[in-house]
Amino acid sequence: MKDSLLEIKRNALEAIERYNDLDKINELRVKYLGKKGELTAILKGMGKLSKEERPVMGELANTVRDAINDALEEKTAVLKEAVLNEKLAAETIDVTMSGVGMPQGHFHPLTQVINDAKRIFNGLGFEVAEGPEIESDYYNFEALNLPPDHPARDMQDTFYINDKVVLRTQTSGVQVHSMEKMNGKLPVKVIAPGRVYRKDDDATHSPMFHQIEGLLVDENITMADLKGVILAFVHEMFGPDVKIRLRPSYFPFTEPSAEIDISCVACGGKGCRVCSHTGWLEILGSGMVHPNVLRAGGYDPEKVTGFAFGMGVERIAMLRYDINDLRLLFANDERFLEQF
Amino acid sequence: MLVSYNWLKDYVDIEESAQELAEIITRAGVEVGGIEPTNKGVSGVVVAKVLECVDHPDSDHLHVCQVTTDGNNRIQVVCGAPNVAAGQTVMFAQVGAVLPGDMVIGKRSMRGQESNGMICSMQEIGIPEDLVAPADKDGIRVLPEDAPLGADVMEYLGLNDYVLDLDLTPNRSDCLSVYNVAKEVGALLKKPVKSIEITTLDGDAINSKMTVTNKAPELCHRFTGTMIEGAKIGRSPIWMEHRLQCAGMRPISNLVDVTNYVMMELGQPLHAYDYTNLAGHEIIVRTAEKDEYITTLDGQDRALTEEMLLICDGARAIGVAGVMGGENTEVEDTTQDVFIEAAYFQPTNVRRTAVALGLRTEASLRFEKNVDIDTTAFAGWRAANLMVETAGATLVAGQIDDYPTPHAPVEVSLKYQKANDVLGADIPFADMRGYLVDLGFEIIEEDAEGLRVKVPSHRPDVSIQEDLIEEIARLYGYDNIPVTLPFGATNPGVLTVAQRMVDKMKSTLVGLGLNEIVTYSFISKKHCDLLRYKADDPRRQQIAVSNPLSEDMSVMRTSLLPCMLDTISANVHHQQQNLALFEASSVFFSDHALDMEHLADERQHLVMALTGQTRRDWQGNQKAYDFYYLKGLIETLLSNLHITDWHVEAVKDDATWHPGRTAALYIGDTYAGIFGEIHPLVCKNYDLKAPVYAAELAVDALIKDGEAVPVFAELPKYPAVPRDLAVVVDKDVPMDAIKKAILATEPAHLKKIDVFDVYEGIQLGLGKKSIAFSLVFQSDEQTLTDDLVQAELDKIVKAIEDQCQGQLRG
Repeated sequence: MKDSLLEIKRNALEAIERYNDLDKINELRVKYLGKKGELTAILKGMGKLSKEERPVMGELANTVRDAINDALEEKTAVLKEAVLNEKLAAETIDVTMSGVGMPQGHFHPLTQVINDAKRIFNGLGFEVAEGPEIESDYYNFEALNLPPDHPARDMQDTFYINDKVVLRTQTSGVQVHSMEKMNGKLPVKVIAPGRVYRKDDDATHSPMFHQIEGLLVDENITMADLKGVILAFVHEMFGPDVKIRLRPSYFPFTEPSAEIDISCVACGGKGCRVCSHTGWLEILGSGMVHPNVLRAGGYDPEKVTGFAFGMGVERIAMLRYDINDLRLLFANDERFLEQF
Repeated sequence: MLVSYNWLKDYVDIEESAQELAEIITRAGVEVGGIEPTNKGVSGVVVAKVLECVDHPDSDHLHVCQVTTDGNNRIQVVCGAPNVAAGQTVMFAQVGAVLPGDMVIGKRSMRGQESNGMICSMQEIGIPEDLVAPADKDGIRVLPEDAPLGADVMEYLGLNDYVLDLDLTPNRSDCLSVYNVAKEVGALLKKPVKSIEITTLDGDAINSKMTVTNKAPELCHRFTGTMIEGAKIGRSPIWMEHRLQCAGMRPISNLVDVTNYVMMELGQPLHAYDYTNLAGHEIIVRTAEKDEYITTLDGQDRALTEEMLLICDGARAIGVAGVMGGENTEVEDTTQDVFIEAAYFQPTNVRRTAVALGLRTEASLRFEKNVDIDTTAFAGWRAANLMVETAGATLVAGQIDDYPTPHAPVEVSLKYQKANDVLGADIPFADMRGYLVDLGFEIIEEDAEGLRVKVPSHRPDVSIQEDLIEEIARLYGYDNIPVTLPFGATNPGVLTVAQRMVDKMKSTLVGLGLNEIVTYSFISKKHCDLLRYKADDPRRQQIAVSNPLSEDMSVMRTSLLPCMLDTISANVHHQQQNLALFEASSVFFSDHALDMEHLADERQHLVMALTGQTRRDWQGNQKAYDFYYLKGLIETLLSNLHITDWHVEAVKDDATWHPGRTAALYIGDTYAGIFGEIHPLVCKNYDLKAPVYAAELAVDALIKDGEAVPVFAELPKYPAVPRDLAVVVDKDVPMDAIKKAILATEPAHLKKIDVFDVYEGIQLGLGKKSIAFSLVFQSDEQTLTDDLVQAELDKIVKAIEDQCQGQLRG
């Protein structure tokens, strides 16, 4: 019996080794391990064995069955994988083809700049304020220390609705609105992005454009703080290597006033066409809030100080995206919009 | 303001180059916008004498000349200028000389005659045509006889100079004077500024020759008169002509040039009258009478108003004060005796007059920005002195000075610590004091903590402590101020709910494939007709701009649709036919005249529009935009804003929109906007052939309930039972009516109801349609049985039969 078992094992393993066909392997399973298979047939003869031989043969029979079973399993797995591989090979597609056309929209570049500014200034603790675009002469000029007949108030530049109402020429009017709204509380810490209007229309001027105003009024606000806040903004907006430079300037609503330049983003300050070979780009006007403006907002210039700044969004967008023509920003050509 | 670098050097010992100087003054607040060399690359042009000049044998206009550049040599040159003559001293470009534009002068033959150089005109050495003196305009420049032979012409004429173009801010109109710029330069370089020496002649002679009556002292704060006699009209000396040219002014004659020169030097506009032409030998300063006219120097007749200030003689108006003189008393070729006016006119009045007359002159520019009232008398003497020097005149003794209320000097106090507090700097007090002294501030009082100064009269922009702080800061250098971040209580730095929701709307639309556009807020009134507004449509009540750039930008928009349609039209005409766009911006309404207290009603709108098809890909995925695509966008938008209580109603009577494909959106009971297909006649008006689907929504309505926070619902524990239900109804029964009928039965456990198919076909019968609903039943407490679900379905079918005359489709 022992010999028979070993022979079955030998034959079975040989056969499993020989065939590379799943059907054939299944046949072998039936042939050797099935209910009517060879191993079963032999085990039927177990009853005739002596009490001593039976457990020995039983164990041998189990070993033989396990060996055949393992061989069958292993072979089956190998063959199945081969079949799968063949199927997968047949499923090969061209991965260089484009994906399915997904809808893809784009924020206007001006909105992207404004959104970035909002994010940066929110992080610095500034809130976003708003004001009317059709503005009273008072908020647009008078409250900003620009009384009637002030030379800085040129008739040519302003769109009027009537004597007392204008299209705002600057977002600076939001300064006084914001102070009034805070009603004496501190700090007043806002930016105000928005549309402004000036009577100017040529290659470098649009009659409508966007500004972002900034205002911080509190106790002990200094010009050094103005530099710090602007530097933080510039680093976020244009990169950590960009430098700033302040030049004295004049705005009726700030004193001292400063024009702020950044090192040229195109050439890094070496001088190029973009910066007219100066290495610097003018990007914003700023200064310490004029005492008259603080008073107009209901604050006592003896007790508080503040800084304010204003920048042109179009200018920043053009520098950032290297846009060479202002008019493109308002033409809304889809081929332009899709680039941002 | 154009300033000659060499002119500045008259007053201050400048070692820096023009470029270095420009950088220094720019950094201190007087911006140099450009530096222009007056020598446009000229070399090799020397002073020469014409020895002989004969007509060219083969030409009717050329001359053959022999010139010498050292008194010994003879050089033959052919010259075409009509005014060339033997004996003249001329500007001679030798062979090898370079003229502007890198033109190298060579030896050549002109109609058979050898020509070894060129005799030059002012234009040929680079002086712009409009700055060339009248005498030099039509030929070569004839130099004074004493010009040294062989000398470099550019050097001799003082043309090796630079012109600094100052971009002045309105507060620094003091720098409309070269001398005041020199004071600024002196303070910055810490160098003394030389004073301008003048000779005055005391006496009373002038009062017997002239009387001045100031009838409008509130508009003419000071009027001085200075006189010279026996002048000989002629050309100004070369140095003066050149400086005027640098300043952008054309030399005319010595007397006129002096007035311009002193205006440039001191910032005080002057007027020179021919004394003999002043009727009654008197000047009256008065406001104009009603319907009065004057003929100004430029030959124009100008109507005056009663606010305008005039300078008159005994008979007539002879000038508009501070703006322009009249032509009747001009200095002429025969003028010998001159009355020089130097006055201070009230700036606002000059400004208004200049604007009203459309006359902005160099004089009005200075008067309206405030000239230095304390320089007036000095300027008169300075001009008289220069006329003596350049026109051989003699001074008339005395000066008329009508100055009823002398200007009180402005005094300002400063606490040093305050400056450091505002600047966030630590500037030594002694340095602050030094800066102010350098800038010409006179110390009246001082102690360890601060000082009180008298503001120099040429700096009317300084009147409060903050102004002094700026002076200190700019001399200290803005770059030396430290960089800090503010500390103390702060704000959370967050957006308001409304701002966040608007941002979310925009992000949603961008995510859904729409491109954002930005268009002008002012439009043409004609859009009201293009959009077919009814005569009484409130959107026709647009706020008008009183001084628009053009009709196209003349009214404030009441809808975002016109610019959207214009944008689509422009894109389609650039072959962009498939478009999905949006804009969020303000529209402007008003039912009253606007004034300070009553401004416009500004409302935020959101417009979106689709035309053409979605992106096409190689799998054939492409969908024509239609009403339902648009509605899908709106539904997604509402869903992202967590707005659930909304419904739409068909709109059939708005002429802008397709009567059968338009709906109004309501949130709760609030109207929130309109959407649908644009009426084909409107499309035609915008030159659009393909259908456009658009929506214009009111942002206020979308954000009125704030940003709802979703509330989590337990996930279902029991299986869902889906059931499809197709019903046949009349074609005009809206889906919403069937859905309402279904919901009215209050079906138990109905969790979801969707339409998955709509079908119209002949087998359903004419005028019928089938709508297939997918219903999902699900209980939170049990697994639903078929019987239970069927009972609900029976109720639903019955309701559809009763209320919508529908039938279950077999």
